Amino acid sequence: MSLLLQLLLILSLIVALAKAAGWLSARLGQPAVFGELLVGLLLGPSVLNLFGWSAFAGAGAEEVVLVMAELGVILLMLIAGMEVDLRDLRRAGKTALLAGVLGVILPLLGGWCLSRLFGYGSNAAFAVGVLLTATSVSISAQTLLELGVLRSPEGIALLGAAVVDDVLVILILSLETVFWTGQTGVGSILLVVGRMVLFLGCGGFLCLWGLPRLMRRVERWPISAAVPTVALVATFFTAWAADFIGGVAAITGAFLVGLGLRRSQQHRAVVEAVHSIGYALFVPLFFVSVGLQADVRALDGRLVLFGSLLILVAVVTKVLGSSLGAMLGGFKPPSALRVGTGMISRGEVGLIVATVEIREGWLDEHLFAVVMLLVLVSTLLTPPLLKRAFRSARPSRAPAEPRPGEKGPADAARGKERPAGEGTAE
Amino acid sequence: MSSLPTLLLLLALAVLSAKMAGWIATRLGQSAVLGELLVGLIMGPTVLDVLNMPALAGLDVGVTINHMAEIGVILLMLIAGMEVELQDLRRSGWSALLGGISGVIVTIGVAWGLSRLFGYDATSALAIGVLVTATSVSISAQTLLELGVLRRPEGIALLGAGVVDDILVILLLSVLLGFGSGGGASGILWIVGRMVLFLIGGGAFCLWALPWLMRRVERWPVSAAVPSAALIATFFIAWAADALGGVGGITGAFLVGLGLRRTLLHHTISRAIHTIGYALFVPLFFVSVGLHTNVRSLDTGRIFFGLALIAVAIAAKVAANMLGAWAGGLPRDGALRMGLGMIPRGEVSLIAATVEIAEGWIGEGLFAIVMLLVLTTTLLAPLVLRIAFRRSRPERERPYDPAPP
Repeated sequence: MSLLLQLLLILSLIVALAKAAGWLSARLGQPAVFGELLVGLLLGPSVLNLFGWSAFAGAGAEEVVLVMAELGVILLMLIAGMEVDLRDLRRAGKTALLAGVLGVILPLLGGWCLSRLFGYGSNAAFAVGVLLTATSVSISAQTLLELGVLRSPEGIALLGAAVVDDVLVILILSLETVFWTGQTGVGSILLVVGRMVLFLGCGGFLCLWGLPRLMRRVERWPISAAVPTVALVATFFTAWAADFIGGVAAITGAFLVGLGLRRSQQHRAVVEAVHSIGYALFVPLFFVSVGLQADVRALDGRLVLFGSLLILVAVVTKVLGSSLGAMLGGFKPPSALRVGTGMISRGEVGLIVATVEIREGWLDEHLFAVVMLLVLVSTLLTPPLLKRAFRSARPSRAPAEPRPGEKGPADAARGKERPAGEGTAE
Repeated sequence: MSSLPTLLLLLALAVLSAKMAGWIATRLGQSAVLGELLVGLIMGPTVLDVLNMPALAGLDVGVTINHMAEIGVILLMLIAGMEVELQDLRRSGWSALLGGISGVIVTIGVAWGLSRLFGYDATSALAIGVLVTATSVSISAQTLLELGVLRRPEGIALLGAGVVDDILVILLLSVLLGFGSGGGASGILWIVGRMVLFLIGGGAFCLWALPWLMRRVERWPVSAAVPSAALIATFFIAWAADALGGVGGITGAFLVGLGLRRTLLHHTISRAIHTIGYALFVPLFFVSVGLHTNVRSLDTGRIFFGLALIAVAIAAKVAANMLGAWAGGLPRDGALRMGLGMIPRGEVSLIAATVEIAEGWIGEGLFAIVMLLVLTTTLLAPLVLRIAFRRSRPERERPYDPAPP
């Protein structure tokens, strides 16, 4: 088969299976990511080893799929940025801030200590720690929504803490480049930090202030698909600039663009277009590619032990850190525990961080399978734990019921975090 | 520097410059394709040779861009299929049918003769004929729309003939692809059998099962369910067209487009596919066409052949279409205008060239000629049409928008 043919067949197969699995897991009350990851695991070297088949081997289809999956990462980060609602943060205030910050620091420390115990170097241990920090609250939000407690103080604090978490993880990932430049001189470290600050400052300003203004003009241009085109071009360009100018990970740039697009008046049109492009092709490819790259069979006894402990540490430190932060912010212990429990779930961002760290060579490749297990376990664990934590509490009346699912669960969960009809004007 | 950021930069640059050029071309009253092709030509080996710049050397980003451009071709054919309006054909009747058929046959015949004269073998000559016959009426339709004459008999006949042209070219390409692999008498029977089987089976699936399927898919709780299903169907049928039917992948995509047009969700799908296509893959295709063209590689013999081919292709198309339309019942001046409307070549020619080069029927050098043909005809058609219609009075008409929203 020629490469194009292989590519067409593989793309249709992967997307179809991913969507079918997403549908199935949505039916079983799990997030779609869950099913898509499992499909990847099934197709990957762990079970079927799709790219080892004679029909697909040799012509380089695997590389193209992986490159498209990387574009999926960029798009996913763009979508994540577009979903950050800074008002969630403002509404929850100090509690969210403290819960978010401590919820990042404790897992980072826990992961670092454990990795040092297992003989990793200081930098590698830090990379492992960063893996444990990224929370995806969409699963928790979905559960709270079903319980009717999303607009309770705990729910709002959870959403706010998630915003803090997202931003902190991106910042830490950027800082991580400083450790890996390999230079020790004060001058070179200053240079690295300077580049980063320069990019974050200028890029942030351009994205947050310039982009919304640009989008308003673009809408009237007589070009086919003008708004999505400019959104994509801005994303790709800023992602490149993040790497080339700022020396930080490309996803940082995509995240910034997402933050900026959220503030534009074309927000809805952009979201719709990027969802079409992302969720119909590139994002399922990414989720499946995670499984394609994770070889569970390659885990030896020591790695299995390390991985299990790591997952345990990830869950415990997250709950502890976030609960502690919420308590410091003024919550009573039971409420604080609920916030902490809601922060357990890991998802896309954790996988993205792992992808970036492995590509940069900061992380052992075998840990990919561990991260995947972390996502699967925490995703499974969170809803029942949350339900138990909230059982004692009476459901507070939600002030605004969310829109019924107009998109799939993955987007809907995020979309439902906000009451219907809220404008986007800041 | 790892290759991902470079790829991102290249993607951003390619899409941005293509869109900007399209914008400028639109401003100058030309079609956007013209600008996008020119940008590709400039970025390609003819002028800048972007892919071989030192910053990119050693990274295989060019390969990735090529693959994405190939997916762009598939999406473009899907869109072309979604834009076919079989009603246009019914409304215009004989003049469109006869004009379309005679235009295709005569143009192929004449181009075949010319290529034989210049020493090409029979298969290559036929491949060249198919290349130069594929019309893109969207540019003419746009012009007629501006002139306010699209809903006149000759305008409707033009749209109908465009449909006939599209379908005939796809069929011819399929036949060529089927026979390209060669074989004896039983081989030919097998090839024809496969092809017919695929066209019937795939056609039935696309035209009847797909609309039914899409209606169900819409209610599935999956993110981006409808566009995902459309893409899955397109990629899969395109694969099946080649692997099972032995015809080109684009035939499959075209069939899916015809089917999706018949769904209730037509508008949703069309918008999503336009977004996916025109925001990323399709501009990459147009640029990649330029990236593959090296005008400098043309020697004088080739240039002479190319110019003769272009002249012949235009003249044959206009004359044959005019005669066909006239035989079908249009008055003589109306038939002439319709023939002139069939001048522009566009995406389909370029797609056919891509496919034929991939199959090895024609040399890479012909790419430059096809590109020249597309550029010349898209420049020429609006001018000629304006002159031809100048004397006739405009009439009120229903809006028609062949261009993407």
